[in-house]
Amino acid sequence: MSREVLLAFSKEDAELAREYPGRVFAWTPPAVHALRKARVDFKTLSDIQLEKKFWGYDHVDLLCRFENWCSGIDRLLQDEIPELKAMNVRPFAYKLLAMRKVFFQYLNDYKKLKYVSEFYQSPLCYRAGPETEYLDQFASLGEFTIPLRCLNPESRASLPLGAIGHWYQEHGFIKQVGKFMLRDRKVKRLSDFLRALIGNRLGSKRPAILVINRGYDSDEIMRRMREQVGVDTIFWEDCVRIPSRPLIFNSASIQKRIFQEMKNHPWTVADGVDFLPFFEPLIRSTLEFDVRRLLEISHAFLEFDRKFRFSVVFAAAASTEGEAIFDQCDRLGIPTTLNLHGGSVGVYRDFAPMPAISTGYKRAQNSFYLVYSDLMKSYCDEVKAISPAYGMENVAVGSPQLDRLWEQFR
Amino acid sequence: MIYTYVCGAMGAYNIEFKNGVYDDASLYQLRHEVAELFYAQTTHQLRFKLGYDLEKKHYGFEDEVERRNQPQVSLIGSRTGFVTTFATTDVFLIEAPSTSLLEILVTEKPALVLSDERGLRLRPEILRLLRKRVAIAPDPEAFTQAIDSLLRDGFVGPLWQGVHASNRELFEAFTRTGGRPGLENITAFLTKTLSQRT
Repeated sequence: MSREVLLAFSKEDAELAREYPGRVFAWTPPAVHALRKARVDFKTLSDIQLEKKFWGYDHVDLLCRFENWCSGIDRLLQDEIPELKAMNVRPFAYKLLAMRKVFFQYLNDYKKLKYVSEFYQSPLCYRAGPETEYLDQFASLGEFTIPLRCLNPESRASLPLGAIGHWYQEHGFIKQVGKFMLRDRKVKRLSDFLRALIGNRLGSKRPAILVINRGYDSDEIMRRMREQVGVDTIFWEDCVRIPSRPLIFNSASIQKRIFQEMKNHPWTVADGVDFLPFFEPLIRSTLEFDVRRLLEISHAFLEFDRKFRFSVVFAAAASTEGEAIFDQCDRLGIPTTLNLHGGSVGVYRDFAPMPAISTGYKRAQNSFYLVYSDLMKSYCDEVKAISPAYGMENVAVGSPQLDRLWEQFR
Repeated sequence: MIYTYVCGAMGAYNIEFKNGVYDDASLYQLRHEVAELFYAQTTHQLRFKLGYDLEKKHYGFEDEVERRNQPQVSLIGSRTGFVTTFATTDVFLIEAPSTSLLEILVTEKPALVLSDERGLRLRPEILRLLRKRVAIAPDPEAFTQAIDSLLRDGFVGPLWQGVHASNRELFEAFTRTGGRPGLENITAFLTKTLSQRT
């Protein structure tokens, strides 16, 4: 009887598990379904994790380390690309929120592997396939110590991008750089845009708010601002893309420097394993695509600000694009506000809030994170006190969305 | 009675919350087990409220619920607003404390929440208020046992002691500030900042 524990990822693995002489562990939802259907005895993580102790991370601590990593790379980029330094464009810091999920994925799976291996006191094995591609990557790390064997190494995929690359392709790229869009529901907004533009040309003194993204009742907030306060509201997604001069830099040599200088950084190291190689596709994509785009966004914002002289910049949710604009706002002294949404921040002890990465803001007192209540603010203030990335001022304002629900159901 | 099971986030969305017992496979196993409890009886109905386009992933479970097509268990798709389920729900089953939990606090419907300290630690002040409003199961086993008990005996047992579905203290504490509606607060705040450009 084999002592190895089979890690099941797919329906095909469940077929294999039927005949497998050892124990079986379900790694994914499809495996759970298929193993149940095949009536194979298996366990999941919750079955074997019997100790009543917290298994998670201190997110604030992790984010501090991550922010330090991103800042380190951004300094290096600014050193190599003067255009970034001139405008203080920080591509990696802007992508921090998107990228941190990638790292958590690896950290979680690494911890899971370790836990399963320790629980069974046995080596682990898996079948090569698209679902286990990143296990191949784990196994290929020189320092990797968990006994992990591929049952069919000849079938291992040799894909140029790892799991990070796939995830990144799906979620990480900036989807658009302020396209000019004319759809039915936006006609009204377009007229606002044109009115503001014409009014501006005619010397209007109406203050203007730039809305970076929408949602969570932001349309209603802006309607009020227009009707009751008399401001112009400009939506970033309506702004015409302004191409900037081509940016020329040597991506390969910068990448080489990153890998030399960021080796063994506390952010990418867990249990003595440096996961930096996994970040190669992400670093490469950021260099090849996002650096140019983020510089372009920053230029475009400055161009629009010259036109409208924004009084406030408002974002309904944190985004890579928004972070780039917020940085330029800080340089220009424009107040920024970011709305919190969702019910997780302030509920969990270990979950860090997600304001803009405001490290090094010169006017952080002019940058505001609008949270629901004093209870939530107290938590955000605690995090702010210990996080160098958290410069925004927390302000308790309530939630229009939840107020609406309250009215509906009370 | 109609039970609405609020499925937590999975995949990339769950990564940051996926601590320990809350890996995707364990959550799926839990959903299977809860579904089986309902398939085994005929009095109550269970609706899984999906989110994040989960049904498009075809992990197997959702397809099977559709295929079995039994009245005890059904799905509510990701694109259906969670709030639209409130009126027809008698009991909420919540897989993890989240935005959905915050939203159901506006109703006076009973709720059972899985809140396992191995995966998610709540702030003490939140936990204190939450205990007044919902029944809290400390681990997946207690969660399925509590559901089994609900199906057989109703709202009895230690998990429901001291719980009042009409209690809105947590909702108030979490969403209110100074008694003024959020929309007014935000508009007033933005108006104040209009002149702050330096």
